[in-house]
Amino acid sequence: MKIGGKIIGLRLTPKLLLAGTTLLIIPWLGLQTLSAMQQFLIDGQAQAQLLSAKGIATLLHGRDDLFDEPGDDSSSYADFPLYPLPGKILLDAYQEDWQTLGDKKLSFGKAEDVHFSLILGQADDTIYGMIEVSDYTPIYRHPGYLRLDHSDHIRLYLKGTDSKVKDSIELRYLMTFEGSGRISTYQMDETWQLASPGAPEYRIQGQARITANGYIVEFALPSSFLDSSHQLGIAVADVTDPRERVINTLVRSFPSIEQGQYNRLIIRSPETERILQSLAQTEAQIWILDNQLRVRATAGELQPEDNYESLEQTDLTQQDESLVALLINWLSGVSNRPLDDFNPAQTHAREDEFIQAALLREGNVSRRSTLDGNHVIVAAVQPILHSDNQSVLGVVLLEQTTDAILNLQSQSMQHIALLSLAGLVAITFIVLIFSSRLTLRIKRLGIDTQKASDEQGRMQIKTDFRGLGAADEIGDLTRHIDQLLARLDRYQQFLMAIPRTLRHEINNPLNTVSTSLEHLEGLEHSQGHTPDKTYLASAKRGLQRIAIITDSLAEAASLEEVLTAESLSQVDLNQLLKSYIDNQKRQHKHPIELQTPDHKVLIVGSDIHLEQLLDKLLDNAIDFSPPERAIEINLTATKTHCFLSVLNHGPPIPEAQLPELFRLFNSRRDGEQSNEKNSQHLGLGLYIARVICERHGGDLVAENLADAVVFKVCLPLTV
Amino acid sequence: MELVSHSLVMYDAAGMLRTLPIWLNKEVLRPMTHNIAIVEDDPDQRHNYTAAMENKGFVVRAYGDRLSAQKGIAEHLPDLVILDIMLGHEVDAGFQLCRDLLAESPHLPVLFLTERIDEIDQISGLRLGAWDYQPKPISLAYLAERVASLLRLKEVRLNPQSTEKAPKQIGAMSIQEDAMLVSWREEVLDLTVTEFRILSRLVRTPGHALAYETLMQATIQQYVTNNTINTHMRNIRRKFASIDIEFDCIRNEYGFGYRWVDVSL
Repeated sequence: MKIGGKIIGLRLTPKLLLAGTTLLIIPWLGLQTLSAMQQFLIDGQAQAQLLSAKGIATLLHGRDDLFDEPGDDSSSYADFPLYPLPGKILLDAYQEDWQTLGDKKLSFGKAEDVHFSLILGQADDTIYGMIEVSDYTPIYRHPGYLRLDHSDHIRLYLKGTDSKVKDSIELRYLMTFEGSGRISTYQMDETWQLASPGAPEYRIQGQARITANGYIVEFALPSSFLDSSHQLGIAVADVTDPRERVINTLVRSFPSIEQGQYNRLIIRSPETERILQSLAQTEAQIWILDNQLRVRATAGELQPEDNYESLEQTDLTQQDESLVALLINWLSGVSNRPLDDFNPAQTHAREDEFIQAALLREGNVSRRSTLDGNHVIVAAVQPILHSDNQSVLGVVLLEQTTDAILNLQSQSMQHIALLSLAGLVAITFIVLIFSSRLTLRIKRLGIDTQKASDEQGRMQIKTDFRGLGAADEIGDLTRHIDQLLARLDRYQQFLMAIPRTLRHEINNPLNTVSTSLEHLEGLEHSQGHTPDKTYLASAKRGLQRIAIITDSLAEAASLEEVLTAESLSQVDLNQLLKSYIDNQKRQHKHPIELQTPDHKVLIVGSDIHLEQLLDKLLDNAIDFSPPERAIEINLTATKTHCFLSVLNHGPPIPEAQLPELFRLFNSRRDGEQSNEKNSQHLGLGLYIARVICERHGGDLVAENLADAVVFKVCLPLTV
Repeated sequence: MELVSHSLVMYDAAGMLRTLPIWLNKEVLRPMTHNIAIVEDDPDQRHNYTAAMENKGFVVRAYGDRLSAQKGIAEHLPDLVILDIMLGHEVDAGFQLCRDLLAESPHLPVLFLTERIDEIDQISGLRLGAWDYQPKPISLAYLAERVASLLRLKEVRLNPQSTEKAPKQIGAMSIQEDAMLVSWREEVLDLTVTEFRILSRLVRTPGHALAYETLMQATIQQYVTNNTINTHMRNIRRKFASIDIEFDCIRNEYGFGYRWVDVSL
């Protein structure tokens, strides 16, 4: 863009920096690569999980025994699902610990009469139970009675192992209470009347709480009480009359005591779990489900415990984490928050749709978010086939988070980000240094080149170019310019020397010819001839012309030198002009009209050269002016400059010739126009006039007027 | 006294050629026998000079290079030496020769006749002690005239009592035409022959403006321009100013010439 003669636009450095911003694409490409890699790695993980699942399925192939349900035949009454609990249950008879399992309660008894609901869970080696009894008349244990069946109580029937007999034995425990508070548990005799050893069984603990509807009992029973058949029966005995204190109703969770069968606890297969333990992977969870999609065994955890802690710790320290890290985490999808994917409902059975596929004897992979929505889980399922290869025994489900991959990606991303940042900074720095160096060198070259010539375009004596030794293109350019200037300098010196050399060289032969001519003339005289003077005279004239030409040339060439050497003084141009014109009027017949101001016009200059300037201008004006029309000379002055115009009424100068007018050897005069004075016109006059004007800090222009031509001199006044 | 007519060819700043008649004293051209040495490397010019000088009755010995000139001049000491500056390939041979000769015989008149007409060369030559400095091309008649004039000057300077004329007094300046001696306020000015001639012509009519042409005639040189006169005038003024900083007797008559104004009157 060009504004006011100055070209506006980007300089070199911003241009390079702008071009350098394309480097920003590199981190973006890295990010794209990482995303592609993430997809690839996650797919790979899914495939690996599928393979692992297949391996586990193959391992369990045909192990029908592991899926055997003890007492499969007694499906007439309810099994007790045993829900895995996330941790220890606080025995307080409140439902907080069980809240998500509220709708999994099993109810027993008639709604209009005494009835109870039951929910069982397991954590570690303890079975927890929550029994909610609907009884509007709770009768508490009376300390006066030894018999324990004189109050409302809960009976536990279980098949246990006796260390002595090493066989399955029937065990009876009774839980009784004296209002809200701790319950007491006793092992009972067969009649459920008296405690059999007498002492309370402290290993079974519990808490009772009286509510508006009845009472709630929460208890803990070590699973070691049960034998491998995992049978547990629960009965609630209701005493209604506080005086008679006889059992009015006994609500059982199982139909008949005679069958010797209680409710079966659906517990995970310990053997399967043992097998799985050996297969457990870090940060992966293996589920074995039966063909009802009930959970038979699990192993491993999605996120190891110690991970939580470390993550929590780092969470604290990384509170003021840098924006970059946050951005990277957001980009890679890594979450630092602890994983929360515990769904108690799932601990008993899985109903995920994609698992159904496995029941159709096909492996499947699925990806889902965790329940807290912060992590992604990849799940693979494989069917476990029956030994006859016909039916599906169960399903292996292998779940794993993508955290490992995402962490890896996040680390790579941090790496790339750091490297890119460092790279960008380094590149920017280098580009800046490089460009400023380049700019500096180009500027320096420009300055040096400008210094090589003065305002009038003459070469200076010698410019020392900096950066001549550089090997690159700028160095080449510098050398080229240096050589070019050196050639120009030589050429200019040659040109300047020409007139003087010419004069020197021509003067010798000229002298020979002229002296010889003189001898010839004398010889003719002495020998008495009447010489034909015409030829001698024309030869002499020719010689004189040559002498004048070489002299003029030398004078023109050395004029600037002479002017520079001339000592300048203050001159009153007005007085000089008046005196000059007075003298000229006496010599020239040509009429001259002069107009001058009535005050001094002081300029600093060389008077004899100003006189020479007037000579040239007047001579030129007289040559072109019609004889009868006066030459008009006018001097005016402002505060800073004076203007001298020399006007003649001669023919106008063709516009095309105007710029050429002041050039050396440019003469408009031909033989006809030349005046009677037999003068020699080499086109030096106006050139010399202009040089004199310029040396005085002014200028000289020619203009065509309506019927005249005017030469205008402008000179600065003395400050 | 017989006068011989010669034509003086000049041109002024406007390029106007002027042919002016000048009159030379025949007496001047018929001197007693003098020995002249001419040092000029160009055989044609050497021959022309020799022939011209011999025609005028001088005894001439001509040399083509510096060494033979030095040897010959030492053997036959001439009354006057005409020297070219460039001899063959030695560009400053004339200057060197002049220096050597004047070291031997300080009163020997040396006339430089050279194609080197730059002011700097002229100044160098005159500083070495040369009596005159003439640029080529030169008319043989003028050469003879100058030679005769220098010989006469030499005689006057060597024998001051031989001059009959008393110094002419113009204001603070005294001028002795024969010896070409000018003094300002009792101090002698070191003027060249040409400068003396211009000054002498100028002061002949004090208070009157002299045209460039008149002054050109006075130089007795072949090709003279206004600029040449201006240059000479500048040099004369400078020499006066070196004695008297207040000197202001030479005035420009712009567009015409110069005027001597005797401010002391």
